Amino acid sequence: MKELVLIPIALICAVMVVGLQQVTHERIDANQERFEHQQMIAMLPDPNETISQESTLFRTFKGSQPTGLIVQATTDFGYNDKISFWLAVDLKQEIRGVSVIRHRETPGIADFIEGQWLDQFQGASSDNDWNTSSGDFDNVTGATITSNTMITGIETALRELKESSERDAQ
Amino acid sequence: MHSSSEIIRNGLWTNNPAMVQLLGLCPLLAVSSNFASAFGLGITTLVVLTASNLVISLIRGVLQENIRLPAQIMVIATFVTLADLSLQYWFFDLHQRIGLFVALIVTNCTILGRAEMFAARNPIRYAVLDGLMMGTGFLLVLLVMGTIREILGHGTLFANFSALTGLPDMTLNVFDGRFLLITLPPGAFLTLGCMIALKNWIEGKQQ
Repeated sequence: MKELVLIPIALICAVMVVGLQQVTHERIDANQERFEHQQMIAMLPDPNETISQESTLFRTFKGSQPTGLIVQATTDFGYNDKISFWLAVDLKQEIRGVSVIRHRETPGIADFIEGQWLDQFQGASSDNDWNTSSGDFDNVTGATITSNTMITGIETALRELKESSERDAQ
Repeated sequence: MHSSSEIIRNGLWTNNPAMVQLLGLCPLLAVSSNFASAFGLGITTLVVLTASNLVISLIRGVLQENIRLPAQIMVIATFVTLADLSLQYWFFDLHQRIGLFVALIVTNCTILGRAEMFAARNPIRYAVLDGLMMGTGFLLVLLVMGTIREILGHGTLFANFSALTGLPDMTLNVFDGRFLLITLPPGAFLTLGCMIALKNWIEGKQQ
């Protein structure tokens, strides 16, 4: 039964590894992030340029067929703070959906930007009339700034997405 | 029985792990293309080897023949993991360069070799001294190879050493040429081969 001495040895080893992992993992993650940021900065020739994360791009597929893009966009002109949202488009650059991820709009008054109000943008494209007062999309009374910001923000994101896809195609 | 001076001479010269036993060549050849990486992996190996020798000598009394190897590998793997995490904690940039080979230290035959052949049969103080000397012997070979290959292959010395260790920059630009072969794996074999030949030549003269 002397072989059983392996069990305490294994336990001590496991405790040591897990313990150190617990102690170190936060700073290691921070190190990793700092490293990735440095690698990004290294691509910019001008030392005065700064980076802020405004958008993230994902490609969507059905099987191996591309179906479109999802982009994370941020508008700076919310009533209280920035509003970040996902924007999904199909291959014709028509909107498949909008979904707000992060905002600090007034609770109760601006709740609509998390709900069905966003459905009106489905199928819209840059051909629509994006004018905030006379265009194709409804505002919400009492939350004009939030509504206008969302309409303008979605249009801007859509336009930038289209421009960058056209650049890619060339 | 072993004497301390015999252990020291064994590790550094007579029985040098890299030049005589030819163990641990994978990391040796892979990271010795510049001084900074060679230094980083050499020190890590030295620490792991000494620590595992210490612990294995410490528990040698309770280990039977049939479970000795699994216990030794477990101890070594633990120390390698601890070293890996510590490197990521304090020297992340260094870890980016040699990280792959840090995990491979566990398969470095030098370490299991010393554990089985020496630490499992000798008292703690000799085991620690053996770990230190074998590790230093390995480190010295790495440093010599790193120096030769960086000078010939890149024309510099100590490049990136400051970024990895936090010391002030001391990159030396030795010359402008670049001898590509030396930075590639065959160059590592050629360099090691020349070093072994030189060692044998010196020993032949002494006799």
